[in-house]
Amino acid sequence: MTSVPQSCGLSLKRLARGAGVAVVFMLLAAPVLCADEPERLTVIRAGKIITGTGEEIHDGVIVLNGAKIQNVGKGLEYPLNAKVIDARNRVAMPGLINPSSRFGLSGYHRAEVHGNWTVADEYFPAPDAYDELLDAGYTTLALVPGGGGIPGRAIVVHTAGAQEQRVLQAPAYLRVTPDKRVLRGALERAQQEIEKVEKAKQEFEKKQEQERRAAPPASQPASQPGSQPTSVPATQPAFQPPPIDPAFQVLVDLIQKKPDVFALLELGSASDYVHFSEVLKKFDVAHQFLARNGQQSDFTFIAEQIGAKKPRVVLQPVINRAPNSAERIHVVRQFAQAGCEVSLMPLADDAEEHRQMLGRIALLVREGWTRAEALKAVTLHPARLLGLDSRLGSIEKDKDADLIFLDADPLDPLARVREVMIAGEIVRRVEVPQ
Amino acid sequence: MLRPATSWRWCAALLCLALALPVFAQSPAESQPSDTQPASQPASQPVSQPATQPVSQPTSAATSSLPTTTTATTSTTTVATTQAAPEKERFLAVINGRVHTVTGPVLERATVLSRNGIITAIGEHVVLPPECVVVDATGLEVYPGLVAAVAGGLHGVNQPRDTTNVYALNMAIALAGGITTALAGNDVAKLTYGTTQDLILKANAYLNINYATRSPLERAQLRADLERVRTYLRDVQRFEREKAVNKDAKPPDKEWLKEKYENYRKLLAREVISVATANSTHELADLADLAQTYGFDLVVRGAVEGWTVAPALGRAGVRAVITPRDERAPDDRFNRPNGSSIENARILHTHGVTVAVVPPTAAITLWGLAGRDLLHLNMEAAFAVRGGLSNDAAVRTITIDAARVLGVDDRIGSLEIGKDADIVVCDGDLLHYMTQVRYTIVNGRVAYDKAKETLFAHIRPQGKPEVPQFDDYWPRRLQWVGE
Repeated sequence: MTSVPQSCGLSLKRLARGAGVAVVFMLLAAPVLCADEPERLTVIRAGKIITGTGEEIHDGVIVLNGAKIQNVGKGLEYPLNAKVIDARNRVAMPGLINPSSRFGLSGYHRAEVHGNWTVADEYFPAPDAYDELLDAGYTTLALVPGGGGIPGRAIVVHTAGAQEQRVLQAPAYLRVTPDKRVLRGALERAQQEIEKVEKAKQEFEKKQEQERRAAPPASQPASQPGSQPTSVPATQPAFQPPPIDPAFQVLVDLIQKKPDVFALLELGSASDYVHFSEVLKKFDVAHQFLARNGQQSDFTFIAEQIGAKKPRVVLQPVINRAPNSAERIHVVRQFAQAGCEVSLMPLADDAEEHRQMLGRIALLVREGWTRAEALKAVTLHPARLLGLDSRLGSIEKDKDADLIFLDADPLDPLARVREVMIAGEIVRRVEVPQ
Repeated sequence: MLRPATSWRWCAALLCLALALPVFAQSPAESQPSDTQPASQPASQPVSQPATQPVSQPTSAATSSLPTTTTATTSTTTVATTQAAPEKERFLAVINGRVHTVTGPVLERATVLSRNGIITAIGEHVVLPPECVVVDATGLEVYPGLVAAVAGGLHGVNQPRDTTNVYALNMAIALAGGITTALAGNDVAKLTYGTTQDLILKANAYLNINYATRSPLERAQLRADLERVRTYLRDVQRFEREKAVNKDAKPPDKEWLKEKYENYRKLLAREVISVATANSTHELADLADLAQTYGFDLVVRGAVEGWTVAPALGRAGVRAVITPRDERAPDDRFNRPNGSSIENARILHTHGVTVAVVPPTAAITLWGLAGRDLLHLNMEAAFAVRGGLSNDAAVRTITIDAARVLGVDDRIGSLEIGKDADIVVCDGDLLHYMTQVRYTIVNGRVAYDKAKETLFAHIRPQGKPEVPQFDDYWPRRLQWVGE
C-alpha cells in the first residue's frame, strides 16, 4: 500500500495519458477536475470494501473528507487534487469495536452501588497503551469500571490518536454485574429517592398554597411597616429539590427513562437472566445484556426467551458444549436466530484474544453462522449498542473514517491487519515478519 | 411527572382493574362449593368442619371421596373466570395415572388438574379446560412431590431467593429423584427449574436451639430460660383475666423479653418450630422432657437411638428426621438398649412420632458411592420398609410427614385440592429399586421430563425392563425418544 500522495498523483497523471489502460480505470474511479473545490479530499482505492452493513464492494473507492467519510462506492468521481491512497491489495473494513473491556486498567475491588463513578477517573493511558489492540484491528473500546455490584459507568475511547480526542463518549452505559440483590436494592433505593423528591415538592407546593391564601389580607397595618420584610416576596421562590445520593442518580435517571443511559446487565449463567428478569418486571429500565458464554454454556436454555424481547446482547466467540453433555452447540447463532442483535467481545481481556477475534469469528461462520452477521457483530452491532452508530461501525457516508486494512479477507486464517486508520489518519502500520 | 393524558390512562386502567377484581376474588369461592369444603381445607386445620357435616370425618380421607360431578363443576367454573383474570392462567393436568394421594386412598386412572400451580380437581371424570398442558400418565404411578427435610447444594447458599441457580445440574438431578421441595439454609424452597417464581415456600423455617453444641450447664440454662418465659406467659394470662375485674392490675414486666427470650416466647407461643440435633438416648429423653414440659414444636435430627425412647418422644409430639441406614454399635457397658436399629423408623412411627427420612448424604454427590445421596431419597424410605415400616407409612416419611417436619404440610406433601401442584410421575412403585421418575411437576410446571433430559433418558426409555441396544456410546443419541 503506497500512500505517498505525490507519486500517486503522478502515476494517475501518467495513466491518464496512456488512454488504453485508463479506460479500465476510469470505470472504477474517475478523477474529475473541479476548480472551485478548495478542500483536498483523500481517496482510498481498495481491493475490497466490507462496509459493515452487509454490502461488499470489489475495487471500490472510499472518499474521505478529513476525519469523515464523504462517500463510498464503485466508480465514484473525485476531484483531481485529491490525495489518492492505493490500497488495491487490501481489504478495507470498519475498525473493530470491543463493547466491554478493561484492557490497560488495573484491577479493582468494588462492591455495592457506585453509579457516580466512571472509568474517566482512572483513564490515563500511555500513548502506546493500546498498540497491541491496534495490531488486532481494534479502533474503539468501551472501558468498563472494575469490581462487583454496580461499579459505575463505562467510557468509549479510541485506541489511538491525540490524547484529548480519544474519548468518544463519557460516561457511557452503566455496568451491572450478575448480582440480583444489588440491582434490586439499588433500584429500590433510587425509587425511594424519587419519592423523597416528590414528597418534598408536594410539601413545597402545599406551603406555597398556604402562603398564597395567607397573602390576600396582606394589606399590612402601617404601624409595623418594617417588621415583615419578606412576607410578600416579589418573585415566588423556586423549588429546591432535596439532594439525591449521587451514587444513585444514574439509577434514578434509568427509572425516569432518561435518554442516553442504559444498564448493561452482565450474565454469568442462564440463571442470572431469570433472576434479573424478576427485577426488571418490577422496574422497567433500559437495559441490554452481556453473557459470558465462554465461561458457562447453559445460555442455550434462555436463548428463546431472551430473543423474544429482541435485546442487544454481547457474547463471546465460542462454540459451546451443551450443559452436562458432549454435544456442541452454537449459542451465538441461537441468540441471533432468536432475535437478539449480537455483538461479540473477546474471550479474554488480553491482547492475544483480541488478535484471535477474527479467527474465532471465522470458526463461528464455519459452524453455520452468516458471514455478514458475524462481521457486524464486531463493528456495527457494538456501535449500535453503545449508541454511536451515527459515527462508528460501518463504512458509510458521514461516518468517522475508522478503518482497518487487511491483506486478505478478514475471515481468511492468513489475514493480517496491516494498517489502521482512526479519524482519517493512519495511526498504525503493522510490520510483517519476512 | 405524569402528563394529563398519561394519568387519564392510569385512571382508566385502575377502573378496569377495580371492575375486574370482584370477579377475580369471587372465583375461588365459586370453585369450591360447600360440600367440597373439607377437601379444600389444608391438613393443618383438622377441626374446621362445616356444621352441615353430620360426622366429623378426618380431613385426609375426604380428599379423594369427592363426587366426580363436583369436580367437573370445579373445572368449568375455573374456565368461566379465565377471561376476567389479569394474567394468562396456567393449567396442567396429569391424566389417567394411578394417583396416590398419600393422605387419602389410591385412585385408579384418575386425573389431577392444577390451575396456576394449585391443585383444583382430582378425580376420574375431570373436564380439562382448553390450553391445558397434559401429562399422560397412563400406566404410570402419580405421587405428590418428594420433600427433603434436610438438604444442601440444591439452592443458593445465602438467600436462596436471590442466589439459586435455577438451571443447575444438582437441581435437575434432584428433580430426577422426584424431589420438589427441600430445606435451603433455613428456608423451605421449591425446586423451580428454569424460573424463580414461587421459589420460597416458607422463609425462616426453624429456630435452632443449638442443643447438640451446648455443654451440660448451657443446657440447664436453656431450661431455665424456657421456665422464665413460661412464667411470663402465665403472668400475661393472669393479667388478662384480672384486667376485667381489677383496674389497677399491672401487666408483667417485659423489658427483658428481647433477643433469645423473644425467640423462646415465639417458640412457646407455637409461632416457630425449633430444631435440634440429638442422637443418644439421654439427649433425646432430655429433649422430649423439655418439649413436653414447656409445650413447643420440636424437630430432632439424627435420633439414631430414638427407638429406645420412642414412647417419650411420641408423647411430647416430637418430630424426627432420621436415616434408617445409620449405624451405631451398641455399647455393652450400658445396662439398657442402645445403639442403632433398622427398626428405628417403625418403632418411632408406632409411637406417634412424625418421622421424615433423609439419606446419609443430604445433598447431590457426584463422587464416592452412589445410592446414598438425595437422588435416592425414595431408596432411603425403602430401608425403613426393610425395618418393618409399612409401605404407605414409608411413602409418608418422604412426602406429607417430611412436609410436616418442615411445617409446610398445609401446602405440600399430598395430592389434595388447594395444595400446590407438586407431582411426581414414575413408572412403578415409588419405593421399588427399579422405579424411575418420568415427570416431575413443580408449582404446576413440568420441571423434569426424563425423555428430554440427558441424565436417565437412555435407561428403560419406555419403562420396560429390557435394556435398549445402542450403536454407539457417546454422545448419547436420543432418536428412540418418542418412537
